[in-house]
Amino acid sequence: MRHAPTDRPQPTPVLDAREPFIPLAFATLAAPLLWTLHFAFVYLLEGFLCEAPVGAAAAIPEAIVAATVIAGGLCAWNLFAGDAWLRRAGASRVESHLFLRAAQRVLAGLSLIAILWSGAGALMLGPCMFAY
Amino acid sequence: MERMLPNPEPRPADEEAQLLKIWATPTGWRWPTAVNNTVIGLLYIGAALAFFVLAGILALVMRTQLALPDSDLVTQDFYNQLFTTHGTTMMFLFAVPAMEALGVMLLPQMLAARDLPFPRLSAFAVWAYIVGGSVFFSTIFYDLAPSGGWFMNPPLTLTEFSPGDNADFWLLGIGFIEISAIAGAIEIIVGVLRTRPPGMTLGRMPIFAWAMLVFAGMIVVAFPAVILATMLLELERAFDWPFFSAALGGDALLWQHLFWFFGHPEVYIIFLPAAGLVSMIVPTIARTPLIGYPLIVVALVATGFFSFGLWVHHMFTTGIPALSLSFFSAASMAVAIPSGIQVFSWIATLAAGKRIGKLSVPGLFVFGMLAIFVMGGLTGVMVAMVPFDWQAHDSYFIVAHLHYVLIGGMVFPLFGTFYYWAPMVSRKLLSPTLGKWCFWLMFIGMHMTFLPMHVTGLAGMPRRIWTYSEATGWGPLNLLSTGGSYLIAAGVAVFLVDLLRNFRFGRGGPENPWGAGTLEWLPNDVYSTRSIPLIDSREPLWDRPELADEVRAGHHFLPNAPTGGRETLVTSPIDAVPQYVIQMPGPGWAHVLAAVFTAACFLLLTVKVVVPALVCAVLAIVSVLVWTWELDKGPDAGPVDVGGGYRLPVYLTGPDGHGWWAMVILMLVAGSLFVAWIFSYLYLWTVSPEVWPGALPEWSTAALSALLLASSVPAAMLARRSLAPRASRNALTPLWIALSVALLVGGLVVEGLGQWQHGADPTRNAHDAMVYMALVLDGELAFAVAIMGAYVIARHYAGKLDRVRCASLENTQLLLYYTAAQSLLGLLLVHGFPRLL
Amino acid sequence: MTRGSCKLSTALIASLCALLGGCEGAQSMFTPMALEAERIVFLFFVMLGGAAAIFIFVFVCLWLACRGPDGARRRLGSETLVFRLGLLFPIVLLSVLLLWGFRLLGLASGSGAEPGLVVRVEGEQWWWRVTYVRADGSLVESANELRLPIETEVLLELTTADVLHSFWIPAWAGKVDMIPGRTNQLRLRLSATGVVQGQCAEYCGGAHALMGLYGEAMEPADFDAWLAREAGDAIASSEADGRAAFLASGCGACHRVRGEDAPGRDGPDLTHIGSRYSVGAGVLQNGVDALEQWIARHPVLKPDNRMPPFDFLTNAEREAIARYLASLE
Repeated sequence: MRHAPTDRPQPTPVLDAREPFIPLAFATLAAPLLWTLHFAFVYLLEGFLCEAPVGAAAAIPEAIVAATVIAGGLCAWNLFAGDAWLRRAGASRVESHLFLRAAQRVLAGLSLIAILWSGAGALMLGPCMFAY
Repeated sequence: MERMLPNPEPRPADEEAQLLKIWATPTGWRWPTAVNNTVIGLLYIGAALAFFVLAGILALVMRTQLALPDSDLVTQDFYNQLFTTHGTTMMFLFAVPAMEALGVMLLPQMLAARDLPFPRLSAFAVWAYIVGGSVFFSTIFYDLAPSGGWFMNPPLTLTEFSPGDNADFWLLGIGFIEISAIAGAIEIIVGVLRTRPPGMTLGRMPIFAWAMLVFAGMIVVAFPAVILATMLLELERAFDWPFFSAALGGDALLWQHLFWFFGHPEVYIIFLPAAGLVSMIVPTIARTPLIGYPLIVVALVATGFFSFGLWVHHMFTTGIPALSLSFFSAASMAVAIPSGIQVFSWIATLAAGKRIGKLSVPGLFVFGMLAIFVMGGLTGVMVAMVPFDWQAHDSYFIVAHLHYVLIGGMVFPLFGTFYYWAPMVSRKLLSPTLGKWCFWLMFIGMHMTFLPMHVTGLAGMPRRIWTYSEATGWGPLNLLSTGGSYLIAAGVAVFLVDLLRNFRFGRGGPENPWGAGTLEWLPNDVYSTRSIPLIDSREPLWDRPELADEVRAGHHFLPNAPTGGRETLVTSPIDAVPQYVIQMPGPGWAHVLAAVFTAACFLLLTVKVVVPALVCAVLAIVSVLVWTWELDKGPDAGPVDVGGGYRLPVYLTGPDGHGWWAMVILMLVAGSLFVAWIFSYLYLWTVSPEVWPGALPEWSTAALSALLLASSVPAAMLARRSLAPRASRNALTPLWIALSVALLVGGLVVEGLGQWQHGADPTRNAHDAMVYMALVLDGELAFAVAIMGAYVIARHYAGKLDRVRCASLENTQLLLYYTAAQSLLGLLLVHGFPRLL
Repeated sequence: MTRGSCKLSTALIASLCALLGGCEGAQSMFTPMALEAERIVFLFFVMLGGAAAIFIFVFVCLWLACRGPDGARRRLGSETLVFRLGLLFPIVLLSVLLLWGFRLLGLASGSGAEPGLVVRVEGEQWWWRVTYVRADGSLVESANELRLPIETEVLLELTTADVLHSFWIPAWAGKVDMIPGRTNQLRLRLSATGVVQGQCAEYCGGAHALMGLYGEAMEPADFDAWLAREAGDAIASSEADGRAAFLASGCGACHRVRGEDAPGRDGPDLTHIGSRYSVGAGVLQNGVDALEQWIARHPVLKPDNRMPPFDFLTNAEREAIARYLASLE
């Protein structure tokens, strides 16, 4: 450990202190990012196919269910085996590894719920139906 | 085991005097040049509080008008100006700036940094905000205030229905303040991630720092959407580019999508820092670490994400398909979970800690916040239920809901904060007696004002009406609300009296009066902490009571000023390992003048005095160049010993440098703006496919434009390559820089001419307006790159540019790469998409 | 009881009465007269009960955390509690609520039934143009009030002539916005007869506060009879002076009176204004006095409204015009 409080910190060459910040940020935030992609996909799909002059609206619920299964599956993977994602991103090199994993796991759980909720509408409501 | 300190030996006697001299705040007429975060932060908070009071007075006038039915205390038009200015001021001039102000004020102290990494940038943001905000607010006194509502929905705000300058004051004034907010956000992100004390890993960061990180990240994503909306509306008002006019293929709903894509996250942008403050105060009250720290961090981050899935929440009644509504309903539910986590985490912390006796004033505000915010959150879940929202939307039920959320979620924590953190900068504590009066008046007044409004709304009273008839039966409820609003005002007045009587800026107040555990309660002076502590826990002052004395004696990092100027330690973003020392600028006039001239330029444009506005723009740019000229100081003063065996450089370029980080975040802002443009382009196509053209300009012009844009990238790379070794120069460097800028600008000119010759006319229809809008967005970036290029060339001839000292060139390069990439993507969409149809 | 708390309870009772008074108004959501509106009221009371229960629960927890016995505090003061009460509990509760919301959304969406009546409502600054589409395709124009038959599937087509407006009669249904370039739909099936009120709910500038609307639900047979009468030309009025003054003053340039030389389309159709509930889109209760008031003082009664001032009229002319208009039933 580099900063054991009982130990005088050793001189570290600066460039070795470089952390894989961006890969680790992506690995930790993978689940909410998946939620973002899923949300954008289902919203744009419904929004554009209902309004745009291209037809194909009937396939919307199936596409939403498929997207939900894929995004939800990835989220679940991140929830249960996200540590491997972190390690691949270089987490073993940082002291915050365990903290990142703890945050990643809860984020994955929340995002999974949010993705399932977003997809649930497709099972109960038809495409391009207007209220009233 | 004996703990080893980074600088165990006694420090030289004159060291502290040197620090005091370097960090001294200018006095007298030079005071506006100050950049110290406590001075700037206090100015920022003071201004935000002033706008709160002013907008509150407007609210009182409105409540007085509504106290009785058929009242004619104010005219219809003035009332419309009142609620527009009240909402706009509270959101843009009070809530967001107040939170950024707390960030500027508290973050460096909590992170034991000497200052934020870009001190002049925060000072610029503050001055710009004060000048711009004051002028915007004063329009209410000259009957010039906008009257289109704080959301400024077109077509009402188009020239046809709002011919005066009033709407332009909103568009230019607020657009300008949004820029100030983004400047603050960049500062906060780099500050939180890069200027933490050694050992403060992400998992040990104070919750407020997490909250501010998420806050700033949300500003980066959300504000560009409203900036684009503002630009589109102003272009339509000034030059008839029909983005929102249905007759020419525009759509009024495009505004609502862009505005609420900003507007809903805005609520959380305001709430998160306040929740972070509560998470700091609760452990102090309970005398125990926060229970569920990682859960709270996750709650903040998750709120940051989910709050972007809520914008259609404000459009449930616009006739959107039911399935689309269901996604937003789902996200509205999802965003409620993190709030649940936070509330129960605070409860658990209170249960785990020592039993509290009598509540202090900050404690009262925290409990008051809980009561109000939980109620607001519950009505929030109600309006997330689409069918109920069809009734509640745009009625007084929403007025009640939003004030519960914002007053509970932001104003109460803010007042708690004033009482809690005042001792950090004041010689005297605020009065507990007056504090209690202030709390109870505000708390009772708050419920008396807003609780009845739930009923008023469901009884049919819509928002934004200046009068109602007696027959509606809303009179008594409104009278009750008006009475309550006077109680709130009395509470705020008591607070102001308390400030006048007891707040005295300066050091020497009680040190750590609440017995808190975080670093802002370390002994401090103008230079912040004497030395930057090595941290190994979340509440270092509780776990290591001797830390304060060690820090004061200079036994931790950077106890001196090795370069002889202002500096602070930069650490790595995850584990906070010391990386280098940044040399920061001190007081100066240039950034103040830049702010004043920028504000003047925007405001003169508003009243359409074009030539003086352009003069101000030039002066603003010159001021910025003068300001930045001193920033890229070079590596000569280093490397320096900061203690703990670290010998650190004082200059760094590349992906570890703080300038690189700031530029990348700026690119994210620009990227967010561009994504909003892509959305708008595609959205208008779905609404009005008939105006999308059958014929486009020839491929050849687009290909030529793309070739020029793409070749600007290698030219910029060669500019970097051509740099001469340290302290010498290569005559080719300026040529490469000029070439790369010329290629970039040339590419855009070719595309613009191609469109023009093809007959595209931005006033003809929404498609053509969108095509030219891409050029506007690319062009403004190219303009910035051109100025930066000229600046770098000047530095070359001044002998301030070489292979090592190249931060200015590096930033120019980065922005040029981004601009080229964005322009190419724009070309692809504009020329490719219609060919797919 | 101290004097202070006595005052407080008096105030509470007073506010409760006010609350009930407010709830029964003609523009209240709490007196639903259609199935959709009834469902929303039920949903509201269920959510209100749930919200109250949750609020009390949170504050009992908070009280236990601060003042409760040691055992309770120990159990509350752990991360497990945050996980269970702050995370799992909301997830379960919100899932149920969400699915219910989806179901209601589905029920409210496109029943698909062929509408028995189509009415077009167009919002204008600051009044409502109402056009009934009869079975034979002919149109009947009226303004500022909407009469509908009960137990009939009605389709409202909502548009705007200028800025955004929102159509809202709380007793009948939630609001639907009126947006330039779009036609929004609102399906209604009213269940009880009676007169109710509504108001524009989307801020539309200037006199937004004074853009009211009356709604009357009628027995289908009554409605048919009324619509047949409404479709006819203006009755031959005995108010000859008023008629002459009306036509001579140029009122017909903006207002249409079918059967007279008054073809204007900019303002509300006045063919049967005598039988309407209000003058000036809900500003005044209809009557000769109200009409005279309106002609004399409309820039004060409804600032910014688009009707030019008619200052040149003599009192006698104004009165005559008012009597003439009131006679147009």
